[in-house]
Amino acid sequence: MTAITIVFFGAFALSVALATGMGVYRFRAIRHTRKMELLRSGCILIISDFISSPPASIGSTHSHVGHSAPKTEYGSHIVETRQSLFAHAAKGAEVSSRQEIKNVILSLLRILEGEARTRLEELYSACGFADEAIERLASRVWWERAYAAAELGTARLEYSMNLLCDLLQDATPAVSLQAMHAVLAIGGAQVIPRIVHLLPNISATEEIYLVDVCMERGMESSAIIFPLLEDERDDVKRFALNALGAIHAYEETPVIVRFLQSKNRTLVLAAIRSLGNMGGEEPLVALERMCAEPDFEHKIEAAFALGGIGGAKSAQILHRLATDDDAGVRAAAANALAHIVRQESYHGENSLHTPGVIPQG
Amino acid sequence: MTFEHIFTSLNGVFAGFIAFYLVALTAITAIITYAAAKTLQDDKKFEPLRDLNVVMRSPLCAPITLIAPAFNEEKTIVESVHSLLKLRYGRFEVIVVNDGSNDATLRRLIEEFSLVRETYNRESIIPTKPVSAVYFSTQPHFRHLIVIDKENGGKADALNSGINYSRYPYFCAIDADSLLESDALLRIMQPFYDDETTVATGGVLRLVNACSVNRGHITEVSMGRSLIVWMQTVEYIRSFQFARCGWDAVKGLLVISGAFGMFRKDVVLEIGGYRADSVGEDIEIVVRLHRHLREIKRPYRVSFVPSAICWTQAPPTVRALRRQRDRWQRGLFHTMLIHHKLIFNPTYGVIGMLAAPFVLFYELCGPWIEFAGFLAFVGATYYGLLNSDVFILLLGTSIFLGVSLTLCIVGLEEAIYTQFTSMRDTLKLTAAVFLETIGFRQMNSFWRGIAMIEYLFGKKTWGNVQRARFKRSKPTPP
Repeated sequence: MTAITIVFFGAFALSVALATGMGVYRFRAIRHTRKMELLRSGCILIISDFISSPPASIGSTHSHVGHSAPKTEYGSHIVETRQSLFAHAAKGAEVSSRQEIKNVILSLLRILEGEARTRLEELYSACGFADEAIERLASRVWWERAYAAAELGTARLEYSMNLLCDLLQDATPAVSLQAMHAVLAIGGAQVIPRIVHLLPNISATEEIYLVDVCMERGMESSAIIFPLLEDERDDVKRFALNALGAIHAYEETPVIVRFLQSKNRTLVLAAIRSLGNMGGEEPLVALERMCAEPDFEHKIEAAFALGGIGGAKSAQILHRLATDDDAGVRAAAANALAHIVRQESYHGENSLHTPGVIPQG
Repeated sequence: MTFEHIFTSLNGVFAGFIAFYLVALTAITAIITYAAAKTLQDDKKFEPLRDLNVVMRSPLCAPITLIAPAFNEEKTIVESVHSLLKLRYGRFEVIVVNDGSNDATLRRLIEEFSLVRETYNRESIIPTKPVSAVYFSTQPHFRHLIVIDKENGGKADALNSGINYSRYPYFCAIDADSLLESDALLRIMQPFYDDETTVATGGVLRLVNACSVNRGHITEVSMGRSLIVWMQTVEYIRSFQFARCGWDAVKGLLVISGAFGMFRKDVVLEIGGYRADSVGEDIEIVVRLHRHLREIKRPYRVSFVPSAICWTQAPPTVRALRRQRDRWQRGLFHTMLIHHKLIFNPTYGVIGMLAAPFVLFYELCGPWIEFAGFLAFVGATYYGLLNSDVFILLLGTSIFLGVSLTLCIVGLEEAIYTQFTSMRDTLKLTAAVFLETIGFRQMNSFWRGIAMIEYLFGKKTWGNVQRARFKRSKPTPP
């Protein structure tokens, strides 16, 4: 009886404690949020002042925000002194405040370029954040490594490149993804071959980020990507096919078309998708040949690609495909055709806007 | 041997069984909660590092079809479709399936979106009730919208019809009255990019009843004033956030909500689409996916994405809530009857050895065990076997332990995702955890027990679903 009573009161006390704890937590969270908002506003003001004050020469100058630099040869010295004082204060701040200061600097680094960015990078290092980030790359906690990689990528610290490349083979996918992001931010599209060979296997997420960088560079990245088509790894080839399609590398169409005959199903599908992304006469001819192949998965993918390309020629091919033996192929062709008809109606072309009944299989 | 003797013997056995049952339930719930907390913490840590804009603008962003079955949704359909069309995603189409509504659902859609009939007939891969017409919009900025008008066949049939007309390799099954967060599609697709064996993913449901909505976006989250909604909020946090996240962490996720689930179309076509005769089509299709892919020994993954949020309406009245719980329980019962082969079958791994038995003993048998406990209490009182002090202490302990576990779950959820930012809502949430144990849970158990009897007596329909307009946020001053 005593034991049961103790357990009962224990359970009761636990529930009351948890309920009280929730209220206290919310109260403290609200207070903390307000404190951090004040700190953030202050940091933004101070840092904006640093980065907008031009380096002063002897004589007066005016900054972009209307403040005049002191009319003294020690103008730049004063700016640097304020910067060191800020960095010193940041180093001595409590953990949450320090984190907030770092967040402000990183968020500004994401949007600024040129002289202002250079100053911010100096401030970031002066506050000790760069050294901390490099130390955290070796942390046992996965998210510390990931955040450190993300920071170094935002700050574009070139001397951290090799350490980041090591992280590309991290066991945690989130860490290798951030490391890849950081290496791309520092090195640009040129480092893509190095990245794809260091990654043990290129996931779809990683491919998306790599292709995005290629698209930023446009046709210039074609020369970097093209050699990867000859790589021994299939995932590298798949990435190269997708990337070339994304940047509309029309001159590589004959090479991509060769992959339609590959024994690797993934590469064939990637080649079809790539041709569909590019559009144009030559890809259409290649896709038409694919529609005559026996493999239904290839035909479904080709139907989808043709629906995306649109136009009268695509519609003709799809009409033929709509009589295929496979129900999935017929459905894909019909849906693609319906899509083309709808799209054409928005452009006012009536050549395909003819009521038609797909023959039932 | 008198009845009293028989009862006394059985009572002892039953008491032992109940003790084991509660300990096992608490232990499994605690393990699942721990696994969920860890997953949610990891997800929250990774959240700021994701760059969804890159995914959205990428040509490799997989195109998807949103399928929204609608039956008598005239009050909310226009706003819902507008919000769907504004979702942040690369390429997608929205297929609204008007499942034989007898109100103004279709007319509202035609008027609002300038719909015209499509003249192409198409073959159906999955057999469904007849489609009377397919509409598309004449306005280019609604070019992604397709409306199918068909004979009433139920939600599963409507989804199958949407699959037949979908162009893209992935489809997302949603409710027509759901509001998705603007980046919900980007988030729910993430597991498909991270792991190419992923075949289905589910998102989290939150309640929109007391929230303010402006043009399809949630502008203010609130608990509101309705006790029924408070308690459902607690339930949703416990079941839809934590429980599913926890089961996903142990690879035993058995259900993806019908209000927000993403599937690979080719795999769903392989298994023949949704079962049209099921009122629990959401759980049934996921269980069937598990069975099919395990039986053919194909590697696969069914995931839960805690940051992909869908706002849905909870039943605002007791009557509507009862109909909903009745439907859920019948759907669950029907599914477990069809797929009873799973239970305690090692062929199906964690699904067969842990997830399915848990559903059987705690979700399906739970109401009956509670009823048996009530009968045992009455009998023990009648025969003078009950020590009332011990009984009250044990009952109180059980209640407060359950409350503590729920408070842990709710507290963790608030710490990680902070759904409610105001002190008032936090206090309401805390109060709801206590109030839930006084009547709400018991009411639920009673309805679930009755639902199973109704199923055995042949009740297999959806029933009427009550809808309410979204609460509008106050217009902001210029």
